[in-house]
Amino acid sequence: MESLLSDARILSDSVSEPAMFSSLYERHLRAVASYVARRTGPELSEDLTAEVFVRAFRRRAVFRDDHGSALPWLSGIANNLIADYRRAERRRLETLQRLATTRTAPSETDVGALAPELVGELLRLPAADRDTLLLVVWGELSYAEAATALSVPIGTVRSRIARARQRLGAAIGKPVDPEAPIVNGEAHA
Amino acid sequence: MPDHEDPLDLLRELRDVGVAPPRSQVLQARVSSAIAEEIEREQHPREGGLPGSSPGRSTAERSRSAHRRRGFARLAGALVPVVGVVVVVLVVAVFFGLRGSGPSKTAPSHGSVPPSHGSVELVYLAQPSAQTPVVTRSALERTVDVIRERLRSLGIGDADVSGSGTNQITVALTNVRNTAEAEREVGTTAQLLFYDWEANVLTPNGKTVASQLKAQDPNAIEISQGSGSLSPGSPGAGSMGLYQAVRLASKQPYSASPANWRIGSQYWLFGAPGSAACAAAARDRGTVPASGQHCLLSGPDDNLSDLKAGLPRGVSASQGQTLTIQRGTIVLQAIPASFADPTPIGDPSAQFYVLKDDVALRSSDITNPQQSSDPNTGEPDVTFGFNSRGRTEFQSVTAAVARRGDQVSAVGQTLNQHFAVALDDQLITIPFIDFKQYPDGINGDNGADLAGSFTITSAQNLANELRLGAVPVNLRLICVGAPSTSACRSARAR
Repeated sequence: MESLLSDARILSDSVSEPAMFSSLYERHLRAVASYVARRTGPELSEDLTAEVFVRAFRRRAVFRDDHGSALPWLSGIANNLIADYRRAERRRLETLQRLATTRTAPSETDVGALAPELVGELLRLPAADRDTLLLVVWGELSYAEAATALSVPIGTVRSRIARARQRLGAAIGKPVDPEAPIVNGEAHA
Repeated sequence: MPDHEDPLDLLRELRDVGVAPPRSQVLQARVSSAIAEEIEREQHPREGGLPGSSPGRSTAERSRSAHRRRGFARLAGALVPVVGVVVVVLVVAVFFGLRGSGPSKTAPSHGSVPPSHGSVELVYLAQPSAQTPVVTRSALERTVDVIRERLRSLGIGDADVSGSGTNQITVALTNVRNTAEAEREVGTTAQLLFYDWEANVLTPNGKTVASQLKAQDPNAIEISQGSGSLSPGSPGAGSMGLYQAVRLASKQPYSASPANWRIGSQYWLFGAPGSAACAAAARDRGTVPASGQHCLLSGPDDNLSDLKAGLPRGVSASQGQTLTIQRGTIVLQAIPASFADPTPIGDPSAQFYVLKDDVALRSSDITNPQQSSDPNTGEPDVTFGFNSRGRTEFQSVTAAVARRGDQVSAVGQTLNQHFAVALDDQLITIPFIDFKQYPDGINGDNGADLAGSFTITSAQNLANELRLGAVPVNLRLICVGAPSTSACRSARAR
């Protein structure tokens, strides 16, 4: 009976047996594709997703098992790739800005009305802050996983997100309490 | 609205505005071909001629085949290996009944209304299979060769088969009278699968039969040995209804191995007993809903969008329960009680078994499938040999089955063990290995024989289908249309 192999095991086995790599992309394809599409828009997302896995494949021998899951590592590769496509990212955010005002999210919120300012400020954030923030908010990683993805200490993740959150709050006229608990269930007093 | 005071919550709400959910199938094919190129780059060209691709038989093969026929014996109705030859009963009605009803059928998910006469173009997406986890260029070329050969053997001469891009195959046919038939002939792949029966089949508690035989678990004994006059694998010999089987299968963990037949997830959508959805489904199909039973609303499909597209009119996905069977588990329909009239999978009386998807042998392990005639009765049958992997595996699975028979049998109680033969998702037969006579299993040098109520044409068709079964990838029809219609162009752009 074969049990579920860990990502680390798949990656290390795939060094000698490359076909094993397919188990890894089967497992994480959806998550990576969703994240890449959210960051760069629908036109490029399939190309870029494929590229993420190609880069991962080339670097499969150097994967370090920090969280059991390879998703943070893959998300980090995705982030590096997105950094090469800042124009696509800008286009995506501008489209989002436009669409959000006309197509409000299903819940009864004022997100549609606030989107132009919110996304506008997101565009103005330093790239590192935006990359960190969106790994957590759109990539659905924990702070620790985001730290792994970016190869920075977790404190750096915290401070970048806190800074970004304050700027976004100010932009939409809803200043945030820097002490308030934050997204994704991160215990963060 | 304190929930939405936080800008990050607002941002999270915006994340999917303007983006569609990922198209998993397309993406998987994209990624797999990209990785395939990487692998080829790493390993460098390593392509050679393909074994078994020559259409003619060598003299050696002929004499082996003749040798195989000698000492051939068949026990009426019984499924036992005799004199080193496996006798497998296969009735052709089952085979044709399966086409179009089996869960692994390929259905066009996109495309225009096909022309009924004239030229037609079929575009297939080559997808990874367990044996070909990445669609390499050579796998694509091999597939093109097999399809070409098949069309030639069917007498469809005016066909142009070509690979396009990294993972698509285009079949252009001219002078086609019946598009549906052409589609079926090109795209159908009969997969013959051999499983060690007791090692893979599960009882309702989710454990394998083999693991519970020593403890004399009554469910395990029934599934292994049959009950009363019912032979193993029959409806009623420990089988389950469809919903129970799929639910049991859906509880099994993801378990990937190169021996899996199915590599992706499989999705099913059921309606609750007595629900409006079941009533609507029955109305749509012109049947009567079975009382007290879940009904199959849609599926099985390999992705959720096809599952939704397959819903009966007036039924939405939220009205039913979606069950997902992960890789590593498979649901097979019981051996039909009546070969002439196989039960459709959605029929309330249809029965199933749940197996771990650990295939011992498959179509690609057999060689030279051909229509032949039984030397004793003159009836048409289908014979095949095994390639070297097939020979090794056949010997090894039958040896494992025999060893287990020895281990679980006690004084006064012989529990011969079995292997199962399935065609697509349908169990065909479950022969046992007499461990006293064959303690080391059965030598695959002798090949095997599929015998039954064949006509010459149906035996030829099966032999052809088995030959196409050696396609190393899964084929998904993504477009049917007149050549170069916009529908096919957009399919190609996907």
